[in-house]
Amino acid sequence: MKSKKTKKDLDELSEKGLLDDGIRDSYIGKISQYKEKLNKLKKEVDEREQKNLERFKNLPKGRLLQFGEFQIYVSP
Amino acid sequence: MLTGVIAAMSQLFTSPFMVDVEQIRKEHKGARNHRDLDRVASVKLLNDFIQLESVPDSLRIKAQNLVKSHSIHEAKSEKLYKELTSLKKSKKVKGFKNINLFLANFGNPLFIFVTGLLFIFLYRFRKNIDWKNLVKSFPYIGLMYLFVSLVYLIWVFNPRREIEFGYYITGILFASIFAVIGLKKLLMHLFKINNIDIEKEKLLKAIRILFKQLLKTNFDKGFVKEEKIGDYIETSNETISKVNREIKS
Repeated sequence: MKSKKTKKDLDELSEKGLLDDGIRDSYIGKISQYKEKLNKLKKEVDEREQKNLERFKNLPKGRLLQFGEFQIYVSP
Repeated sequence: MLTGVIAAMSQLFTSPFMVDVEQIRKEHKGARNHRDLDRVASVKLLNDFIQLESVPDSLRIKAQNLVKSHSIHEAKSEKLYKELTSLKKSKKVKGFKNINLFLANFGNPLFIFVTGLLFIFLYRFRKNIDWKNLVKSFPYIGLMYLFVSLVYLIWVFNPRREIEFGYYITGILFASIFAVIGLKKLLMHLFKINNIDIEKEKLLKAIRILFKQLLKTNFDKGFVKEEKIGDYIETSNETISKVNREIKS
């Protein structure tokens, strides 16, 4: 998300009277809100990956293993 | 403006009634009446003289003809005088001798009255008026005033009693041409009736409505799925930059 450019564009549009009051701020607020969420999710995914690496370190590497519905692949 | 008011009202300081002229006019009228009465009496006396026997025939015939012609002309004069007074009365309009004088005295003050109303009107709606463009009509309106007034000013200093027809028609022609052009421009720029401004306002409002929907309402009402929010924000940003580029160019 190129937020810097977006902010500049939004500034220019509100100067020309194309945005109602508060639309710019609320949109930028939403972008930052979802950026935070995205980072949180990324963090969660990283943590889970670390956990799983530790749990499955003894499994054979470089092969796709199936346990019922679940599939596990440990990279070599 | 002040010189105009003073000039218009200056006639109040001079009396339209000339006392010395009136006095002599009265005396002359009195003397004339006496002369006429004496003439009528002399004709009557002549009539009496005709009855005398010592008057020769040639003179008697002459005298009789004179008395007859006098009585005919007197009756005719009385009849015509009555007709004249009744006709004059019928031609009077609101105390003026005829409709021409009435219109001449009504037209110019009405013109000034309308101008006054126009100024008050312009003041009352001063906030809604596009002054910069309105002023473009002023040279034409000014020229219209100049032409109308020039006709009268030239007439005032001209020894003739009536305005010369040629000047009058020329003045009316040019004044009406300038009046039409000036009025058209005046009305066009009064109340921002200029079409471009209204269309621009409408378009700006439309764009505001669309942006509000795109950037606020869709999020607030949860129209976008959580997993798609990232894509939605990216496309919205692209839209914003496209619109901005279009507006700039």
